[in-house]
Amino acid sequence: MALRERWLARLSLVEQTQDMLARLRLMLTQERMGMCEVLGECAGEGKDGMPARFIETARLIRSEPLMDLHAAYAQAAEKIRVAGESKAEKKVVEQLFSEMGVGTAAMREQAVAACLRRLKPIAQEAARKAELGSRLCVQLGLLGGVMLGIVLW
Amino acid sequence: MKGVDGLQYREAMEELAHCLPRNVGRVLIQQPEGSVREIRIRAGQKTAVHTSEGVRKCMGEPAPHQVQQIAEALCEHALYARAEEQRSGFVTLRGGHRMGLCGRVLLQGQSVRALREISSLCIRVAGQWRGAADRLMPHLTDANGRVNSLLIIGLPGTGKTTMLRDACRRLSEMGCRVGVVDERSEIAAMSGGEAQMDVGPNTDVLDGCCKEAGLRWMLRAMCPDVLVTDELGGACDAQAVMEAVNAGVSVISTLHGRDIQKAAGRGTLAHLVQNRAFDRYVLLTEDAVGCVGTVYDEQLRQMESTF
Repeated sequence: MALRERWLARLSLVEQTQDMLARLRLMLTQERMGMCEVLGECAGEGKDGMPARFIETARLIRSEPLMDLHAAYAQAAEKIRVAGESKAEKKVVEQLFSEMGVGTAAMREQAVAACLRRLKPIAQEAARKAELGSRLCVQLGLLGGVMLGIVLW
Repeated sequence: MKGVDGLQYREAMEELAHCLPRNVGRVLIQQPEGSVREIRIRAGQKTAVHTSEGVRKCMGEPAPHQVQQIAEALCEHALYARAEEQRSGFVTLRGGHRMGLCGRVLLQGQSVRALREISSLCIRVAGQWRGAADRLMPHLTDANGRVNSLLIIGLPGTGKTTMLRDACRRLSEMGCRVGVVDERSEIAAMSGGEAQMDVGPNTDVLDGCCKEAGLRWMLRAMCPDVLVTDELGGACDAQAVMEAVNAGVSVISTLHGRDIQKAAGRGTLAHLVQNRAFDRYVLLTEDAVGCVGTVYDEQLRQMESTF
């Protein structure tokens, strides 16, 4: 059960990251906002995990405008640990922030699109494990029930 | 400097200094109130802070990537979102300051497609100068109290926008309904729906809209007594001004130029002069900021002069 819960939380985290990045992709092309505001809007109402990291990145850029985006995100990632985050996932998002600090709006939007593509297999793996966990729970439950039935009989 | 809004100036300097390297920020903060005119940053050269008392050079020479970083910091890391402004050669910063950019231009045919490898910046500091329009006031209204249409002509850096802003504030305080079409966000310096500069209590601001569409918008939507807009350019701007004037609304604006006769011979102004769009033309002097040189009437006859 604990394993299933962990896998489900992991899936939820990856999906949350994908949602935030999808919003980021839209805002880079549609809005004329400063990066701090863009990151704040993408974080939405979230107070911990990846939203908190985005908010911390925005705060660092605001307090030290000459810091580049990559360095700000790296500091934020060091300060705010996200439970269940895999190394692969962390690396993908760090790469995004190194690409997102330069270039036109279209280039940055493409960087986000590439990041979402790289996250897709990670999300699929997390979904597969979450499903496996659920099936395992059901099977264990059935086995337990059968054994109990035998004992009672 | 008399009339300069001290608090607003200090806040503007602190905000700018926060986005600049420490050695430059320190020099900026140390300057007397209201004295900073320009900050020039060039790759491989000492940064220069131009004040009313002279030029102050800062220690250290930024590398090309640092100039790019400074430009990004000043634009709140959203330089990518200001591509259209970049193509015009300058970007308006929070606070109404104008940051001119130089670098490598990518052309598409004859038009500018993009700017890369930014190598120098010229930041013109905007400021609120209450009293800048004092010399204009006698010419802003006629004997019946009606607001005159007025054009302020001068070279870059002579205080046209500062004077325009103060005129806007004064008319608004007198009770006129003032509509500002602030294409470059330099007159009111809107941020988050709030004007960072004082443009008066009866003023509506249309921020970031081109003059042609903006003047028409204001006429249809906001019932202005006076329309204020900066830097008339081509035929479209002139046409929009004519529409406003023909609708009975006064227009106050600015135009780049040194000599009224030469400026009147050019396309935009020639059309407006021929059609008597403006009741007064004010030529600013070159040797001081915000100083009225000569005032002309609607037929370009000299009315008064300090020369």
